[in-house]
This record gives sequence, C-alpha cells and structure tokens, in this order.
Amino acid sequence: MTKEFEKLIREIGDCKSKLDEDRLIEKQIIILKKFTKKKKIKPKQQSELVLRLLFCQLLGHDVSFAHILAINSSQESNLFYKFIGYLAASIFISTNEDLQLLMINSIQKDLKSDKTLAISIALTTITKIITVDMIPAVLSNVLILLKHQEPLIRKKALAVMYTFLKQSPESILKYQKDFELMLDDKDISVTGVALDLFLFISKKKPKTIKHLVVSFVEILNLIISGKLPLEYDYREIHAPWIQIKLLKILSYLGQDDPNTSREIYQVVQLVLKQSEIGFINGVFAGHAIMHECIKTITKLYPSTKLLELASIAAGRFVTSYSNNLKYLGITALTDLVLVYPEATNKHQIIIVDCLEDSDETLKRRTIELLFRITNKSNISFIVEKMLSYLKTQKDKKYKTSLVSRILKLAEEHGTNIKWYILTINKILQIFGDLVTHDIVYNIMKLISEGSLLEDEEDEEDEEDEEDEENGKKGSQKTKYGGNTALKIFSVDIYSEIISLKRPYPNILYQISLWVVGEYSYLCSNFTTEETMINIVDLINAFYISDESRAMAITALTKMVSHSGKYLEQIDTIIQKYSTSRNTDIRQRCFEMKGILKLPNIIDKILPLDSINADIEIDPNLGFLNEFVENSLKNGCKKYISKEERIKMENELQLGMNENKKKSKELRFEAYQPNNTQQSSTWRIPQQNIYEQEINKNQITNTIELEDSISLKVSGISQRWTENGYSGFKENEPKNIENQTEKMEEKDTSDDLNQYNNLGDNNNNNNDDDDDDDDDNNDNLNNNNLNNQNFNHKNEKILEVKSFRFNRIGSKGPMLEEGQKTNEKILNNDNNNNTTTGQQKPPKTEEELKREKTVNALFNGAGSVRTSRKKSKSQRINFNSKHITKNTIEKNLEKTENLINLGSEKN
Amino acid sequence: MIKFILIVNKLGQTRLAQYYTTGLSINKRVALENEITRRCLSRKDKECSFLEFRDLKVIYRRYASLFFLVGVDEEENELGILEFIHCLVETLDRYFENVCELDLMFNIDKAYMILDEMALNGNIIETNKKNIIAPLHIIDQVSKKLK
Repeated sequence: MTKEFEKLIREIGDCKSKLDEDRLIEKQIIILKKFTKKKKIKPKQQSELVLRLLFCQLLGHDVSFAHILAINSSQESNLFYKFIGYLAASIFISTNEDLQLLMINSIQKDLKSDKTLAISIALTTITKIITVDMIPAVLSNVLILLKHQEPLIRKKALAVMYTFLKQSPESILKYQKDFELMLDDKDISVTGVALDLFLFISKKKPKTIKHLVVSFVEILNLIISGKLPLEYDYREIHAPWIQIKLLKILSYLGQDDPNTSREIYQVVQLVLKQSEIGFINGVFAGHAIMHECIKTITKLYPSTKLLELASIAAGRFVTSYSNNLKYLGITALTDLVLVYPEATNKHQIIIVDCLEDSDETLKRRTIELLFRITNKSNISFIVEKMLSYLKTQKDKKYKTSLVSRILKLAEEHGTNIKWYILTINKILQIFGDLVTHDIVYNIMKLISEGSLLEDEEDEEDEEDEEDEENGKKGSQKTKYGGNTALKIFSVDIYSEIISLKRPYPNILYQISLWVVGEYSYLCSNFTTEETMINIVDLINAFYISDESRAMAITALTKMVSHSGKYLEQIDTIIQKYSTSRNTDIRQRCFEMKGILKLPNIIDKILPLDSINADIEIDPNLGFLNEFVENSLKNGCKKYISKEERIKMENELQLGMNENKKKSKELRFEAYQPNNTQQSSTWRIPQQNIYEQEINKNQITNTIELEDSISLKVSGISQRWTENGYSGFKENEPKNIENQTEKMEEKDTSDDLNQYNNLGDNNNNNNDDDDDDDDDNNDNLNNNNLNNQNFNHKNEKILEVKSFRFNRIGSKGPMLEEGQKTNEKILNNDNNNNTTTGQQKPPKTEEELKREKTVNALFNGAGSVRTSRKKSKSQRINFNSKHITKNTIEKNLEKTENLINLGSEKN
Repeated sequence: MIKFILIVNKLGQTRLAQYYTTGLSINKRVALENEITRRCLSRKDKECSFLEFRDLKVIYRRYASLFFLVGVDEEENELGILEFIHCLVETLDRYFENVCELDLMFNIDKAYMILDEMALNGNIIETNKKNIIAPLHIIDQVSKKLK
C-alpha cells in the first residue's frame, strides 16, 4: 500500500461533511485523470489506482473515464491484480454497458483456468455483469463447471446459472435435470444455491417441479434433525437460511394444491415446533423460521390445525416486547386474517395499541391490518383511531391514499347513514384538500335519495311523527316524497357548517351549499333568512374559492325561488359579482337576476327537490319551432345544415371551373367588402355561400372583378405579382347599397372586431382598420387617399375576417333555427337585415324578456355551446345581452357614440 | 431477494455498497443512499429494525459507529436478513479481528470479497464462515508474495 492511497483513505475518513468529501474526491479525480493518460502503468500501481477509483465511485462520483484501467487489471496474470480488476469492473460495469463486451474475453479465458480461485472470481463477475446476449458465450463453460470437484466452484457455477435463468428462463430451463442432481450434492451449501434456482422456478412454473416436493421435504427433515456439519449451525439453529428457502419453495408448490399441501403439513408443523428452540436464547433466527412457517401456512391449502398453530405463533409475536417481533406479528396477522379471520380476535386491543407506538413502520403495518379486520361492529372505533393517526402524518401522498381508503371503508362497513355523513364531514373538515370529487357526488346522491338503512327505520318513523306535528313540514314531506328525515338532518348540519364561518376546505362548503340550496326549506335550526345572510357572508369571505362562490350564488338563487324571500344583501352581492373576473360567477349572477324577474315561471325553473326528477330533453329544440316559423314568416332565411353548405360550396367551386364568367361574378360578390372596407363582411359570405344568389347586375367594374378572382383563388400572397401589387386601385368605387348599410351594421362590425381582437396577432392592424372604417363612413374622400399599403393591409384583414366568419359557422342561419344563442337573432333584428331587405316587426318588451330567460337557462346548462367556441360566443353573448337589454334606440345611440369615438381617434 | 447491501457510518458516509439490481445511475444511487441513511439514522433504538421505503423494505442493524443496511423486496424474510447482517459482521470480525470502520476502508477489496462469498444475485449463498474465508486466505497469500 502506497502512501498516497493511505493518505486518501485517511482523508476520506476525516471528512466531516459531504461537502468536504466532494471537494476531496474532485481533487482526487483530477489526479487520477493524469494517471490514466500515461501509456504504461505498472500492474501494482494500476491495481491501486483502480481501488482509488472504486472509492470515488462509492462516494457518488462518475469515474467512467478510467473504467478501462479496471479491465486492464483484470487481464493481469497475477491473481491478486486480476481479483482487483474483476471486482472494480463488476462494480463499474453496472453503470457502463459498453464495458461488458470487453470483459467477456478474459472471463472466457479464466473459466478454463486451472486455478480454482481464478475460476471462482470469474464466475462471481459473471453474475454481476452478464446480459442476455452474452449467455451463449459462456454457457458451455459454466455447464462443465457445474461438475467441478471443488464445492466452491459448483456453488458459484450454480449461482451463475441462476443469473442466466433470471435473464432468459426459457433457454435455461432445459438444464433443470442438472439442477435436480445438484440437490443431492454432498455439500449442503451447493444444495442451498440449487434451492435458489428452484425457488425461482416454483414461482414461475410450479407445476414442473411438483415431483420434487418429496426431495425438498427430505432435505428439510435432514436439516432439522441436526445431521449437517456444525459449521452450518447459526446460534444453535441448523442452517436457518436454507430452512427459510425450503419453506418458501414449499409454500409456492402447495399453493392452491390440496394434495401437495397435505404432503407438506407435517414437516411444516415440525419445523414450527423446532424453531421455538431459538426463542430461549433470544436470537431472532428461530423467530425468522417461525415467521416463515406462518407465511407458508397461510399460503398452503388451509388446514385448520396448522392455521390455529400459526395464529398462536403470530400471537406470540404480537405480544412480544420487541418492536421487530411486533412488526412481524402484525404483518403475519395481516396475511393470516384473509384465510383465518379468527386469528385476530384475541389481539384486537394490542393491535390498536400499536397505532399509539412511536414507531412509524409499525404503525403503517398496523393500519394495513386494521383495514382488513374492520367490520360493522368495530368500524366507528377503528375509523376514529385511523383519523387520529392520520392527523400525525406529513407525507401528502400517503395521506391522500389513506383518506380515500378510510372513505371507502366507511362506505363499505358503515351501518348508519347519519354516522357516515358525520364521519365524512369530519374527514372533509380536516383533509378536504385530499378528497376527490367523487365523494361529493356520492354524498349528494345519498342525501337526495334519502334512503336510510334498515336499522334506522324506527328512528326515521319517530321523526316522521314529529314532522307531522309541525304541520307545514309534514305536508312538504308528503308533497315531495323521499326521506325527509335524512334531509332535515343533513340540512341542519350543513347550515351549521356554513354559519360557523371557518376556513374549512372548499369541498366541504360546496357540499354544504348544495344541500342548503336544495333543502333550505327543511332546515329546523336556522330560518331561511339567517342562512341566506350566512351564505352572503360566506361569499364575501376570503377563504373560499371562486368555484364555491359560484355555487353559493346558485344556492342563493334556489333559496330565493323556493322561499320567495329576498334580502337586500343579495342585491349587493349580485351587484358586486356581476362584474367578477370569473365568468362562471358572472354568469350565475346574471342567471339569478334573470330568474328573479320572472316570478310566474320560477317554480318551473327551479322546482323543489328536483335532483331526482327525470328531466326530459328535447334534442330537436321543438319548443322553438313556433319561433322559427314566425321568423320565417317575417322573412328570415331558412337554416341550411353544414353538410348542405359544404355541398353547395363544392358545387360553387365546380361551377367556377366550368364557367369562368359566372365564377367571376361570384367572386365579386365575395369580395365586395373590399370596396367598403370590411363593413359588410358580416353578410356577404352568407349570401355567397348559402344563398347562391348571384346578382349579375352588380358587376360594375371589370378591374374589381379580376381583383376578386385573384383573391379568392389563392389568397392574398398572389396579389403581389412580379410587377408589384396587382390589386392597387386609385379610385375605389363605392357600393352605394353598402354605404347605406354601413350605419346600421355598425354594431355587427363592432362585435366582429371584438372577437377578432380576442386572438388576432394583427391587433394593431385591426385597430387601424376600425378607425379607418369609422372614418370612411363619414368621409369618402379619405378612401381615395389610402395608399397601396393600406389597401393591402385592409385586404389581409378582410381575409382573416371572412375566414373567421366561415369558421365560426353561419351564425345567422343557425340562429334562426334557434340552435345558437337567441340574442344573435335579436341582434339581427335590431340591425334590420338590410342585405335581404326584409324587415321584422319590433319585439315587445315581454318577448325580449322571455328570450333572455331562455337564454340564461341555456347558458347555465352550458350544453348548447361547444367548448371550442366558448370564449368567442361568450364574448358575443355578452355584447348581445347588452343589446337585448337596451332598446333599439339605445342601440342606435351607442352606434353614434362609437362613430364619434372613431372619428375622435383619427 | 436482496436489492442492495450498504455499509454507512453514523455520519451517513458510504463505506461499502453492493447493488444486486441494475438500472440505477450513480446520481440515483447517491440520492437513494442519502435518503435511506437519513431515515435509518433518525430512528430510535427501541423502534423496529425495518423501514418501508417506496417498494423496498430496508432492514438495518447498528454496530458501534457502522450501520449495515440491506434493501429487500416484499417477499424476503426480515428476521432472516437481520440475522444475515449479524452473520456478515461475525465473518468480518473473524477475518479482520475486531473489525472497525478503517479496516473496511483500507481493505475494501476484501470486504467486497467476503460479501461476494456470502451473497450473489441477491441470494444468500453461504453462511459457513470457514467456507467464506478460505478463498480470502488464498488471495492474501498471493498478495503477500508480491510484496
């Protein structure tokens, strides 16, 4: 040993912290790197360098730069250097697969060595580095070594076979006969390794070695009768580890097999009895065997006698002074109760006590056992214990799984729904964050169905009588059916929770709000007004989430509609949250506002106890038929389905190819907004695609015509030809019709702009465009001043807009069918559908109102709208709502304002 | 099956590590060792010698300043491993004569060899101390000749 090596070891030993150690090793690695660059290193120095590298790797540093040194060392002829080389290589290689191939050559050579130790070292190395591809290279050599005269080599060769077996079971199983011979080896340690192979086989293919049960039993008998050499004894126990291996094999072979199990019963009983000898000395080897016996007995085909013995043995473990044994006792019982439920009867108190131990490992095991022994009689006690244990836990993942398991347990074994609800509330109060939403729906369902279990029926009857004494409530009960007792019970609990105003988890508040919202009229400990005030306070509380807040608003809506009572505070709340950032809250506020204005149909919108009512859904929206017919009568266009539209579009395309002139006309129509800067985009595409009405008379300008063609066919880019911008026009003729439209369509284009802004990258362009738009309306001359760039820009925007328009889908026709939001129709009405030139009679106040309500309901259900379009349509809805709310005059006022605004901007 | 055998001192510094599973990078190993060692060291004497960690069960035993940690799978007999640790320490003790931390560090190769004679593939293959030490004596003879 050189001084350098000694110094390194001492320095490592002196390191007081990980930081010191890392610094030291980093320095060492720099030194070692220098050495690896040397061409010639003496074997002695090399082996020492390898050891130094080994330390570096051991302390967590990458030394892959010098792995080759280990391989070189393994190729030395001297056994010591070879040993060091192999050792280091086997440790390095598990992290570097390229080295394996470099090793195989020297391993092959060493397997044929005449030195026992060289073979042994090579075999040891194989077990650590072999991969499937390398097996054929050494398999034949190893098979020969199985019959080597030295037990050391036979043992190691068998261990190598185990490695092969694990890597590639199919190809090695054919040598099973050879392994069987090894069971009778005169050296018990060779037999011990052979048992490892059979343990593996017994797990994978127990049927192929059933005939060996006799041999295994024989070996086990041999061991416990003390016929082995004394060196194999460990603390007066005969070869405990081999006994354990044998018991394991037997347990796999006897599993689900009554015949084999019967062959095993006797020997297991003997081993169990024998293992008690170890108890006297206080050595764990005896316990280890006894524990293995219990495990084996639980796996074997059940034998009452043995199970009884096993439960007695497990009892000895559980009642032991040592935590190790307690732990194993609990583990053993956990398995045992599955086949022998009586096993825990005597020890229940001890088991529960284990939960109060300071030992975390023990507690976790105990929890497992408790989950298995819980039944109807001990559920409340055990759940209580578990919850107090849960409070001490910090690991969130573990807690989450535990909470869900406790909930499941309560669900499975709970006999009393009231207890269940109280328990769940208790859990939610403390661990609400860890609970999934399923449980919420579960509780809601439970309460709404209101089915109490059998043993509660008596109680329920009593409460029924009480109810009837109360008169009102009694009548309510008969009116709405279901089990009111449970509802009263739960609504009382939950109104109390709301009244406490503590920062409980949101999930608890959500359940509470739902229950109170649904059944507040049944509440006995609070008046509706009190609860309403509590909810109002809750909405203002900082600790509840927006989701809960939204639910609270809905709960208020329900309460108001059920009770007919209204508080000023609610008004304040609606005022405050109508402008909330959260769209859901905002939506619900509007819903509430809307519903409250309709006292006549409020019962129909929010009937009492409606949760279980069957809701009939009319997917064809038949109730709107009348409305649609009226609209049609008044001159609206018929709805054309998407498929039809696509078909028409295709025909249109075909027509364009066949008839150039016709197609030109068509295109002219499509790009009419080109003249008027996008203001009429709202309708032009409709006209083109859906109506196919081609007004040939409108072709007034041939230049215009060609421009449109180039636009439609290949998009904006082609407007730029080699000669420059082809679409440039000095004097853009104005379509007079469009101009007159302009004013009335102002709103529509505003809407359009708004949703364009939502996702448009060309925001600035759009803004410019808007301004120009407004300007152009007032001042035609401005248009003439527009330069090339402007035109180009404008065209681009137009493209984007018409594209969007198409994508969003024919709003007009769709709406006419009533499948979209109703406001749009109103919007169209307000704007007077000038394109078709047909006018609708103005809506009466009442009609407007009703439509709005329907609309609110639609939005609330959220089912009509598809999610993709949500944001856009919401935006539009919002606007349109505004429009509906105001009269047409107001609308016009707004338009004027906007125009003014636009001109101011310019 | 044994997944790994670790020897660490009471400061948590690794003195020997043998893994029987592949696929763990050096960084992951270091992290695993740190985590397990930290947990084991924080446990009280009276508490049981087992620690459940992810899908592993760690069985540990303390000898003076050294901790012997063995990671096993669910199936392994815990007490069997606990006694195996003791058997390992007895063997080390017999070979080194009153084994201490420095013995293991200066003779890390021998320590590894003893371990390899006792366990391979994560299975206990030999517990007969005579058989375990015999090959070591041969190596010692060879290395003596070199000096």
